[in-house]
Amino acid sequence: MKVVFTGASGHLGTALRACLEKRGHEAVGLTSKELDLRDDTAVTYLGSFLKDRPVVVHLAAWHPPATAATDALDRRRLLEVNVMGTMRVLEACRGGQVSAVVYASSFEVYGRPESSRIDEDHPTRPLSDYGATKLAGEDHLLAFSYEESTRVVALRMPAVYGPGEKTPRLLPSCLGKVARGERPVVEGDGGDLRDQLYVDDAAKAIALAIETESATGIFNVADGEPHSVAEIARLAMKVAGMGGDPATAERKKPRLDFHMSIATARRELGFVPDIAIEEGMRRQLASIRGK
Amino acid sequence: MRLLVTGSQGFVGRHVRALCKKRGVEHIGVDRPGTGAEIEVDLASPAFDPVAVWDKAGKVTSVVYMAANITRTSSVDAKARSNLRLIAEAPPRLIEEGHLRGLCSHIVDCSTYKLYGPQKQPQIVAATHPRRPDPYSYGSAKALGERLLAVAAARSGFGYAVVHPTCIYGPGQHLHNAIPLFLKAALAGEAPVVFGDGKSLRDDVFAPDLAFLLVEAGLRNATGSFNATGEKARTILEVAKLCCAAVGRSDLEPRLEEGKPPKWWIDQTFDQTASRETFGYAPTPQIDALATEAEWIRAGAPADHERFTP
Repeated sequence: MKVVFTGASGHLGTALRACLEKRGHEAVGLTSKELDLRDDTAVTYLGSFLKDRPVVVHLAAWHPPATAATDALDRRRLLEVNVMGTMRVLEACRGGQVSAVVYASSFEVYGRPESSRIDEDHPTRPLSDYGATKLAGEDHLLAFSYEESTRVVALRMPAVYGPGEKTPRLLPSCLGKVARGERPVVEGDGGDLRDQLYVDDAAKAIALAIETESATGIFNVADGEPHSVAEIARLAMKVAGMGGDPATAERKKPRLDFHMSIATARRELGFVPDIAIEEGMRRQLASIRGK
Repeated sequence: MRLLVTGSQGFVGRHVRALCKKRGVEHIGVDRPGTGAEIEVDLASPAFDPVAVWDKAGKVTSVVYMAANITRTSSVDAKARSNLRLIAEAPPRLIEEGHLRGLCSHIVDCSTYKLYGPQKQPQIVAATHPRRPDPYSYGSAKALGERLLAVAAARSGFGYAVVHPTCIYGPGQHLHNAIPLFLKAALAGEAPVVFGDGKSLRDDVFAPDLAFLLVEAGLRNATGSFNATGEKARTILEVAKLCCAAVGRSDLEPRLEEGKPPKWWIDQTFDQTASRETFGYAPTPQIDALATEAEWIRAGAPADHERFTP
């Protein structure tokens, strides 16, 4: 199957290309250098790649360094890239040009968790500009599906980790510390839950969304296990061969447990994660040390 | 008390202006160049500069934000993107700048019932109902606008209220919509034509009632979500009959055209508890509202429709 995807030079885009080729698909990746989503010329440029009714996978987005601390200028960029950029991609796909569109969404569309296991029907009240713009991308995707009678899938993913990850957040920060021989720091009891998804599993979920022609709508995708902050810090030390416990510090933020159910993706996409977190972190640390 | 009113020269905007005038509330209109508003500016332009608006507006009690276009084509084309700037990007930019300069710390966002999305079955929709926009860009853009306002308010500390009008009718509305078509037919002595089986539920709001909620929310610096609905939910057939009665032609029997189905998702009604308890909201009896609109149509549907505000 021909698959045209945006965000080809990114962390997930790189893994997706490898995954698609391994599964026998023709993978056409477009990087942000050639496809400027902030400009209306993106519509005709992307359109020129849509012969033979391919599946389009839209990965490209702007992810601010700290989604909880954006300002008005960040919001402008988020709107331009994540919302209007998605609208431009979808405009190029109008008129029966594509057989399906798969969209990389985010767990940040949910906002404050109201249940211990978040399923796809959980209310969406994003707390960040980033989450709001990713949710708007979903809204326009669903509108496009209705108007164009085209199959669409949105995959709500947590932060994706694995070799090549550049986002400054908990897991890579812990691995960065242990790579330098330092102990990671856990605030409070470290019991806060965070979902994780290894990059090759994220790519596999996208491939399954492409291949499963009956699949449509919104799916949570993660490794399916609840991971506490303390567990991630301890695992970082374990894969680095360090003894002892993580350092501790006073809690600065109220406890927030975030854990998504992936039952729908298991049932409808046949998604089963391959990489357990310890193995994934081991590979990411090896990659950090290799540099 | 002063209000900054965006979309002031539009259908609802004119009703807001009329109400402000009647109540002695000073108001500054903001609308597109060439519309005659006190401040003419293109809020949908990528070059929109909120600084210039506040330089002219000065200190106000609240911003009543109504500027919007209703797009009926694609949800993703250039028109839809322009509307997104107008509906979702401009409101937080405008209020953040006003708040930063100490000129205004409150905004009323005139949103839409369309962001509740299609309901699986007829139900009463509360103002806190989860948002899942209907499949057109208008609801999606309004939903994004609300979310961005929520994030910006948490960050900057300004207050905001959101008002969700249902289908809006009254003097000044487009004449191709159901209610004016029913009224025109009845005024001409003809039976109004109703598409579908006539059972689709409507909860239309009279424009002056919506204007009341918007102005009250602004003057009181209210916070929260409020539905702007009609007197009560009626089927489209009942509305057509009421249109006949409003022009004194109860003898006319609306004709059903079942081959042409109505819009597929209107079948819902909306809870107005929050609006009633907070503002004493009491919608105009629909027969009186329809009579007012009929009077406007009989007068030739003049552009200065605000003079038909009761």
